[in-house]
Amino acid sequence: MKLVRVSAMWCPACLIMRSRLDKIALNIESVEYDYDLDEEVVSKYNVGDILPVFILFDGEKEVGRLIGEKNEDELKEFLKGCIE
Amino acid sequence: MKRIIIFILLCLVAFVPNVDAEDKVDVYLFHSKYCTHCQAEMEYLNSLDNIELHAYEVMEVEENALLMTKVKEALNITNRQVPFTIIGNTYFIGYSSGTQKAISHLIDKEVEVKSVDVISKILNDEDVSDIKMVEGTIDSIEIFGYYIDLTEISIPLVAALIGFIDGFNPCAMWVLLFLITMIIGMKNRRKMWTIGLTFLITSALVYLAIMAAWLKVAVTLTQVSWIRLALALVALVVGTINLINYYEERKQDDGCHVVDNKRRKSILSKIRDIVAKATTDESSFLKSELSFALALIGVVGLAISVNLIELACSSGLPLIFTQVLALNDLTTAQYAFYMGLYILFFLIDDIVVFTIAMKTLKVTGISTKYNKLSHLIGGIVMILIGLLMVFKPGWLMFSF
Repeated sequence: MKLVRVSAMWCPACLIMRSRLDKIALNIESVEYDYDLDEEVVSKYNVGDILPVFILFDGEKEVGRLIGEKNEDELKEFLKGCIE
Repeated sequence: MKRIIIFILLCLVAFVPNVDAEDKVDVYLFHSKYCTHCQAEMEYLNSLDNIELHAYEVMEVEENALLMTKVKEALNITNRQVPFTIIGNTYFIGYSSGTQKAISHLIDKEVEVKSVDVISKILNDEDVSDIKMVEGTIDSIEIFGYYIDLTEISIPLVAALIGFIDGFNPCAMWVLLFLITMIIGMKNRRKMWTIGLTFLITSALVYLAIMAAWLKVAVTLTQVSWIRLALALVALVVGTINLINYYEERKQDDGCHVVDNKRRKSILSKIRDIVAKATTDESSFLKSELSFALALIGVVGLAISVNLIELACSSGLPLIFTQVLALNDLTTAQYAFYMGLYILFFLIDDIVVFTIAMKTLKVTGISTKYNKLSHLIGGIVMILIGLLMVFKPGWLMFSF
């Protein structure tokens, strides 16, 4: 499993979600891409117009997507099975 | 967040008006012994020790009834209702909790500055045809059984409230976050503080300049009723759009909406240029400072261009606030103070985010969940002000 995060440096919701994720001990790989600085990579993930976007991959297959600012419980529910 | 709210509440408490009672005010009351409202008003007025009550019973005492007729004729008042109260050149017909608040407020004002005592002139058979009488406005509204005294809602409170709501629009924050994220890697705190403060101060000055221009127009044209009605229409339309936006967005995901790619890239490029100039490691101190000065010029340019464009995001709140200011007869210094206060509250979230970032070297964001709420509250405030501008412009002429 792998978690791909798309955020932007101008986006307050991305900062909030980053600090919420920091409190969770993940047992999977997690990578973060910047919407502006990593434009080429981000374009592959078909990100809409609301940030941040968290995408869970099982191998190459997308198994879940969380869009926007969510509370800690919603984030934990999304990452169920990926937390130590 | 709690600290911010406590700080704001402390600021607002500081603006609560304070009046001292010294001299007695002449209050003239025409009443009937059979009228319960008259009895209630008599009871209230008798409880005041800063007035001289002149009460005239008009049902039993014919002489008093004739006097009331004479007074009403002299003042061109056709309504024969009692209680009929006159304080200075202001009169009230009828009595309610709202009237009581208005009378109380008027007495406080008369203690400070007395207006012409019209009744004493009529009693002395003097000519009062040149004196302009004013019907007292009820200064309180009842909401769910509680009376809210509108005269206690002073301009500073309105400035703080509207400015605070305006500041929560997402457009105002994103460029600052962009800038903070880019400069936070610089090792020189002096330069980081200077760049951030230059951006915030320039933003404030741009906003002030725009509001001052609108105020100038509003003050000049405020007496033209159709202009006021046109602005009221703008407030009602924009307020309705805000409410529609809230309704449509309320079930959407919270988060940051990606703004126009071209503009975002242009701003990113400008910020990169600023940071590059600010971090130039020149061999000489002079060259390094010169490069930093160029970076600051870039920051000023960025703040001006961004704020001019992002002003549309403010949904007309500063425009409406300047109209509220124009309805009040204030000095230039007072206008400047209230616009400054509006801008302080407008920028308060930016100031908090910037200060935290500079102190902790970590960028923090304010939840986007408040953006939707700002649409709702902003919409309600705009519609309320719009309606007052049409039906009760006097209520927007605050006393403080």
